Amino acid sequence: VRLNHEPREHRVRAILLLLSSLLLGGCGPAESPDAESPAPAGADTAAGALERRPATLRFHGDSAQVTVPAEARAGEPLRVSLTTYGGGCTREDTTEVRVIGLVADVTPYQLAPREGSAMVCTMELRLNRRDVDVLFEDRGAAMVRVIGVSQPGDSAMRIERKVTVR
Amino acid sequence: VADTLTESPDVHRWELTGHRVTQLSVDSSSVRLLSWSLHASLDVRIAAPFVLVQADGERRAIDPVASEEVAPLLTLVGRGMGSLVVTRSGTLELGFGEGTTLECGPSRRRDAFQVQGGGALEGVAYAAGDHGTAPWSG
Repeated sequence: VRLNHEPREHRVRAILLLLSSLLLGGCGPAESPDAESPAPAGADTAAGALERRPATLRFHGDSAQVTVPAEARAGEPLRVSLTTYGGGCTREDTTEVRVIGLVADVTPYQLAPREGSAMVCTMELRLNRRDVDVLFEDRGAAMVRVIGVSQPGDSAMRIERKVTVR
Repeated sequence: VADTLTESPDVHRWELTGHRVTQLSVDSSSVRLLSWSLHASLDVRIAAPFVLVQADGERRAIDPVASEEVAPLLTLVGRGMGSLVVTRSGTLELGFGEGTTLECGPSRRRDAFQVQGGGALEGVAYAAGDHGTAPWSG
C-alpha cells in the first residue's frame, strides 16, 4: 500500500475516504463490474475525489486486447470485447457506443482519482474486460474504433479494427 | 496537449506534440536523433539506409555507414518532431516540421532501427525485427 505524504487533515480525510470506499465495495473482485452493474455516468462515490474519464487502453507499452470479428451482418449486433487497465482506486464505468454510417466509436470510461486527490490507493494493476454490442445498419467496409488513453503521459489513443459488413 | 496514438494490427501512428530534435549523434554505423524535454523523450536510432525527403520534394538517400552522406540531417536539429509511424512490415517514418520526412524501409541489416521513449512516452518501444516480425511486442 502506498501512502501519500499529506498533512494530517488530508490523511484523516484519506482514511475516511478509504473506509467509505471499502464499505461501498471498493475491494470487490478484480473482474470488471462494468458489464452487469456499471456505475452511473458521472457517479462520484468518494465525495468529489473521483472523476469520469476515458479508460486506459495502454499501460507502459502494453496495449489493450481488442477482439472484433472480421465480418458482421447488417442489422445484427456485433460483439466487441476489450480490456482496460485499472488500479486500486480506478473503477470501471460505462462504455459508450456511437455508430455513424460504417464507423463505430467505442469509448470505455473509468472513475479515477482526481489529480491532487488525497485518496489512499493500493498499487495494483487490474485488467478489466468489457463486452459491448455494435450494430451496423449499412453494408460495406466498416471500422470499429476503441477510444481511450495511453499511460504514462495521458496520450489520446485509438485502436482500430476493420470489419466487413455483409 | 498530449500526444495521440492510433493503433491498428498493421500500423502504429503517433502524432506528437511539443517534441523537437535536441540532439543528433553519428557513429560508424548509425545515426541517432534525440528529442528531449523535461516532460518526455524520444530516442530514434537508425542503422539502415533511409531516405530524407525535404519539404521541396527532394529525396536524399543516406546510408549511415557512409558518414559523409549524413550532413543533411544537421538541418533537423531544432526542428519539431511531429509524427512517428511504424508498420508491421518493418518500415519507419518520421515527420518533422515544414514537411520534411525520414523514411526507413524494411532492411536485412541487423537492428535497422530502434525507438525508445521516456517520461510521458515511457513504454514507446519499437525495434526492426528479423525476417518479418513486427517491430513491436505483444
